Amino acid sequence: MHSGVDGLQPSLESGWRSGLSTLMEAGFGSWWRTKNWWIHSLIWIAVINGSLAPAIWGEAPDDVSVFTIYGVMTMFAAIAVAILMQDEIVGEKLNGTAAWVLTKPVSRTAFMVSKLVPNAVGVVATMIAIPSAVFFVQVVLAGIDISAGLFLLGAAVAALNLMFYLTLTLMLGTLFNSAGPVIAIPLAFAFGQQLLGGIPGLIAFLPWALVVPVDGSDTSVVSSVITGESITTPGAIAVTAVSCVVFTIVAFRKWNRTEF
Amino acid sequence: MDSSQLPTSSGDVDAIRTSGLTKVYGDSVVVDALNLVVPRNSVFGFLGPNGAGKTTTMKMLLGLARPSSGSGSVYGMDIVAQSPAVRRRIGYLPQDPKFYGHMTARETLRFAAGFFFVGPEDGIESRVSEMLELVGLSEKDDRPVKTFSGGEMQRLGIAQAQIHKPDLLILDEPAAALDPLGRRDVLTILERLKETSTVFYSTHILDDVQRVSDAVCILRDGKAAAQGSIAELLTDNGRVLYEVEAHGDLDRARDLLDAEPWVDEVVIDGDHTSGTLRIRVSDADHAELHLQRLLLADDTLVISEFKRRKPDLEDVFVSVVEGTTDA
Repeated sequence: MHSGVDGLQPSLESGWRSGLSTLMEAGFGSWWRTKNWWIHSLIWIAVINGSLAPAIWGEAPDDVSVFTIYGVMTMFAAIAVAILMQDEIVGEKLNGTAAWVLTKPVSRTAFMVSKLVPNAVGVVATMIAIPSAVFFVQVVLAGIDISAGLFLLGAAVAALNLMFYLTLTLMLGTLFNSAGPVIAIPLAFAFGQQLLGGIPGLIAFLPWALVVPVDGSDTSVVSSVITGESITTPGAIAVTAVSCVVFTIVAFRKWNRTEF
Repeated sequence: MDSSQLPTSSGDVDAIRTSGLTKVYGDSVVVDALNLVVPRNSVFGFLGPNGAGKTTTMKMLLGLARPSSGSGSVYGMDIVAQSPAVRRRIGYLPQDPKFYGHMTARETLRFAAGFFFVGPEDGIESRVSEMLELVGLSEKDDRPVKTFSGGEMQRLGIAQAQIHKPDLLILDEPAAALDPLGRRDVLTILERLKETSTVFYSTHILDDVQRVSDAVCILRDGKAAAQGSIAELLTDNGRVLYEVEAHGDLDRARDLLDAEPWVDEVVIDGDHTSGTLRIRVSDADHAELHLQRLLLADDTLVISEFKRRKPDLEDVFVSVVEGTTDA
């Protein structure tokens, strides 16, 4: 280093953490230092709570159906995640910004972490946590019996569904070099799961079963968890969680081998 | 120079050193066993026709592409095993710089600086302002980058590459998108940077190379076809160029010259009866004594001009790229 940068304190990040703090700051900043967070929060407060208000405030609200509808509404958020995240990796590959960032002292792992963590926090907070908090208040005010702990667990299951689409879309972004498959595959999967219901028992293991009642049941995993009933499709939780891990591992491995 | 031999340098640890560096995409060998030595504090021109492997070589040095075989080092650090540490010493300007469109010029430089420095904040701001001033973007520092012209993007690219005062600047066609004034400014910056940094840059503008570079490497089909200081290449291993304007049977004159062992190449610029014979000779002394006599011995040939010319970099480049010379 020479004069002009004398007196500046050098970054000491090394190994996989090289460049991590700057990238994380930029990643979180894209959610919380812009209008992104409150726009998404308002949209999903309106979508989830607006749809549920008639059920909550109507005569003799049915607890199960209210929480079942809540789960179904979070499925729309999951689809929105796939749409929002479609450009996150493939867009940066195509427009050259990923290559630019990677010419700095930045590890590939840090780059991927900065795409995964801030976006996971951003979508879960604005599409699940904040709208669900408002929903919880509505439910309490309406006098519906609800356990805060169980509701938190139910919301976590809905968040797991979001994470499935987030990690799937990020992985596809590392695998493909055009936006088409990156958006088409998650959307086809999201809607195609209903068709897979024709295969006996299969849908009970798919993320769909987390938020939508399947196999003739009245409740999804989300609504069962919130109401403290036994979960009829526990396999969906395990399959979705394992899928998220697999998608993440594949994304990191592929990104580490990607050439520009 | 025989590219299978590793060039030597006089310095301590070279800025860049590659040994048998190779990149293969499918069946295509893009960089072929490249041996390259870029001494410290030099301005090094990296030349070659399109597709010769210049950008791919730069990408391997930066860790954007993985070598298929061979090795490379930057200031003694391995370009694969120590890639982030290597990039800490490098500033890179790509051929077509791309930045986040929503960021302003100042935010872009602040973002780039964040990879090298953690503070103090006012010191980083001061460095950012210094760089904006250097490239003439101070007045446009709060404009989103997506509104920038190609020339402005190039200037911002130079600023971000320089933000940490790197020991090595790698510039891929730095003046390609600039108007003549912008090009002049870039050359001035390059000359100034030479005092503190090593500059490794590719370009097609050979006049610029001859003006500011200490040494060059000319790539042909992924191999280093010629490498050395400008002075060494211009002497072209003792080769000398003659230009003879003549009328008559130029084909016969060419055949006559081609038969001489000290004549490397004869090119006719014009038609078969009138034009310029460009004669490259390998033995200047022999040519001095015999070339003119040989041509005058042909009664059918009328010579209107005969001159000996020192080859410039363009002559060297053309002869190397066309494969008539391996310097």
